[in-house]
Amino acid sequence: MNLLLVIVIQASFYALLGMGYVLIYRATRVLNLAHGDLMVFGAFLFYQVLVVSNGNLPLSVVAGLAGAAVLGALIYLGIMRPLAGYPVAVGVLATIALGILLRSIATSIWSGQTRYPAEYLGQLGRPIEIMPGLSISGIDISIIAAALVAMAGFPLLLQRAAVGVEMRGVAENPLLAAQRGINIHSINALSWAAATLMATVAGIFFALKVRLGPDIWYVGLAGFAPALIGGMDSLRGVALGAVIVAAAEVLAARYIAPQITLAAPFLVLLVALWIRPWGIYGSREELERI
Amino acid sequence: MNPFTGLPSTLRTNYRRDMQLLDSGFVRFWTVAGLAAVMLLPLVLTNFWTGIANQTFIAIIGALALNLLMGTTGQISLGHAGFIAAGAFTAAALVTHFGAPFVVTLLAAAVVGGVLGVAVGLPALRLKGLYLAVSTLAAYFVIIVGIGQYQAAISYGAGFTMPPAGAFGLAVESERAWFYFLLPVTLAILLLNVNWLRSAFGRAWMAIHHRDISAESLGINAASYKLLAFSASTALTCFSGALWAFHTGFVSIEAFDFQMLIQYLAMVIIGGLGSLLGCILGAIFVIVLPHLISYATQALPFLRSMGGNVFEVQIGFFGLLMLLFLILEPRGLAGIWARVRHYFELWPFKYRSWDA
Amino acid sequence: MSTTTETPASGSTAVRAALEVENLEVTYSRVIVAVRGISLTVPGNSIVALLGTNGAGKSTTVRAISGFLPVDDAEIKKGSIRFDGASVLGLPPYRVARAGIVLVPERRKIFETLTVWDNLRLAHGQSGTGAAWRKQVERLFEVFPKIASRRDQTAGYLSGGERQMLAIAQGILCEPRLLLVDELSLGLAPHLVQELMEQLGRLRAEFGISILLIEQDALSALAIADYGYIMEGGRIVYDGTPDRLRNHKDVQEFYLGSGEAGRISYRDVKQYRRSRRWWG
Repeated sequence: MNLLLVIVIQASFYALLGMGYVLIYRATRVLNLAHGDLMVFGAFLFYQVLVVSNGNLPLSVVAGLAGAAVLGALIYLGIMRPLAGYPVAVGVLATIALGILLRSIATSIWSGQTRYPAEYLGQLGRPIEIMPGLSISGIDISIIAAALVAMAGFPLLLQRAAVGVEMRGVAENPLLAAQRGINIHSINALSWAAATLMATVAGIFFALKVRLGPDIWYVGLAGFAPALIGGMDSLRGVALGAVIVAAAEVLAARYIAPQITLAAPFLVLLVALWIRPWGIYGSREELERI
Repeated sequence: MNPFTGLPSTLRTNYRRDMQLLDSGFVRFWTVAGLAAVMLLPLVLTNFWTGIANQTFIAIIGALALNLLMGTTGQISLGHAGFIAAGAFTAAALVTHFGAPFVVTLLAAAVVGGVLGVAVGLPALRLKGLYLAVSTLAAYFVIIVGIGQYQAAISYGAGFTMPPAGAFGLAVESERAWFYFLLPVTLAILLLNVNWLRSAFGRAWMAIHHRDISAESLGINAASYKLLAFSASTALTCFSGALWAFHTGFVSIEAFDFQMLIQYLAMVIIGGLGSLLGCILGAIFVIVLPHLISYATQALPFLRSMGGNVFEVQIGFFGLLMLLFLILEPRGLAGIWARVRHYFELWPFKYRSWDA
Repeated sequence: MSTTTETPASGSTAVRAALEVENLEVTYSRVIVAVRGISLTVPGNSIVALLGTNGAGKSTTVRAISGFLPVDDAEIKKGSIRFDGASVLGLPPYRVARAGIVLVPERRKIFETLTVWDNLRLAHGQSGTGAAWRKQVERLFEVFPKIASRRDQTAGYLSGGERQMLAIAQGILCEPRLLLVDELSLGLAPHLVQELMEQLGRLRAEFGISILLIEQDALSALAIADYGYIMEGGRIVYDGTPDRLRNHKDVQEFYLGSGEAGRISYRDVKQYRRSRRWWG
């Protein structure tokens, strides 16, 4: 039972990260390999405000998220937008370069030390026992809730809201969207801001639950596995992909060896790519469109 | 098109001259002069810098291999550091378990690379661009973790010490000896690459790069050529990994981190994708620059304050440079060289009528 | 070499919008001159046809007007494009669209992964999707009943004619004062082309917009146009009212398919022998 809970928590974490990847992919057709570093940066912003405000959690969360959104928009406007016409490979390589840059800036500002923001949490961090042998903390509940809200909210936004339809239109045919009066750059900047925001939410949770340091970027990187397995153009798929990867990782760590946790998401990814390259909910056309 | 510099050749009047690598007296003279200068380098450089030069040679081989895959055939590969590790550890394993001689390990590494290339290349047949890049990245992680487990099991995490290199009774121990060993090897591999690009499969690779569906309709079996590209590239990479192992003298999994992958990507991108000259320029740039930076750090006081973070600064700097090159000059350093050469070749004209 | 001094007749006395292109020159990659010396006028509430074969430069002109040139590494070297007196030269595409010039493109003219309804939702003018917009949609559904019946279907599954209808509907919903229709007839059956052309004429009268028709199908275009320009080799070589164009011998031979001896066979066309005489 405890194992199931751990899987659910891990899956929530991956779902939040995966959605960020899918959002950016749909908007600008790149796999943002800097996502992990964006997560770290956002989490550090949160931590900075936490320290400065001496533990004001709500303020720090809001500040961290706001800063992350601005960062995401700026990155799109400054880096991804000039690269708009180039092949996808260039975009991916640019995100790799961006990731390195972000990591080095973060290390320069905050140094490579590991931090434990959980010490500011107080009550929220304490696990509550809800069943014999089964305990859950406030952080865990929050991340599951956040993931559920995002997974329900985003598809709804994209389907119903005007801005959501605009996002989908811009993602499919930016030239036509521009000709219909849509400012494609502000739409894409919005997508990037939203994605970075979600990455930061995941990052804040990881920082509170485990630890914070520039080296946790690879945790964010592993988040693209659920996105790909589910199908890079499908938000629904992310949920399923997150569950699969989380289950594989947790079960492998328990029953095979704990060191495998780093490689587990990628092994699952390789197997999934082998069986069904376009993802579970993705479309075959997506594969050709790249 | 001259495959070495990527510039259009001057006009030819017969086939024989068209096929020549060193096509004019000008080129011939400067090639010989350049080679002579390089051969004299160890006499003027300190031991430390000769070692840097050797590292550069090995990096050039690795960059050529990556360029074959990414620049020529257009298959993004983010798993490069994993293959270098595979080559290095093949050499280490053969030496540790079987006491194999130097040349044998080099050849064995190449063979292992070829096989590994097929294994990694098979998913490439179904995947393109993004998905391919991701699967190579995933493969990198899997290889690294796997080798890490092997290292932990066999050497208890301590890593492997390599014996000195040597063949046919000649030992290659000093940096100077390595230099005179690596120079002809690198030149040979460079010529091999030039030859491959001018061959039937080289043209097939380039066709696949541009549009593999069209290539298929011309009768090119894209699948088998892609596998061939992966095989050749990975074989060369593992070969360079084995060389690296012997030159460094010590093999441990930590060396093959993301930073090494970034370095090779930087070499190929900053040098210029698809250009052999770019590989050389990029390798020199990436290997030599950090050392120049550390000299600068010691010389300029305000940089010294960041001394503890030189490592991160360096890698961040590469990230910035790659971005700038991708945005401003996608053909990299070789592209800049081509522009400069173009300008002087064509002056006072601005462009050739068949160039535009 | 345009010799005309006639001004195109405008249908009504209230001239609401005029597109004035003067001496336009567009260059690709800084070296290839695609169009040169292009001057044309689209008065308010009129339909103007821009005719010519492939490669004449029509699409380049249209791209220059709608702001898409930077995408193809092209730039406007000379000339001016004025809409309602204000210059629209060099504006990004979405600004041009918001200024009132809406393009119905030749290719990729609708959002294929969105439903028909979502396609229409994305097309609106400055006033958004309020009651006025809804009324327009209802009216367009009456004019194009085929897309009304496919409201909730994915637009990618529409047939060629239905796509064109959807694209035109989208264009009109963006509240244009000038509609640029690029190659309407491509890939459509002749009766459908005729029907769409007639609808365009009716929509022009009803919504009071001007239309610049870029067409290879000269006959269909001239049937509804008030004025026409013929482009060749990057220049405008002739212009006039539809009657004047139809009666010109060279237009008849090269664009309408009939020579001095009645309908001619393609076999008899020797373009390299006979130079086109565009004067007189």
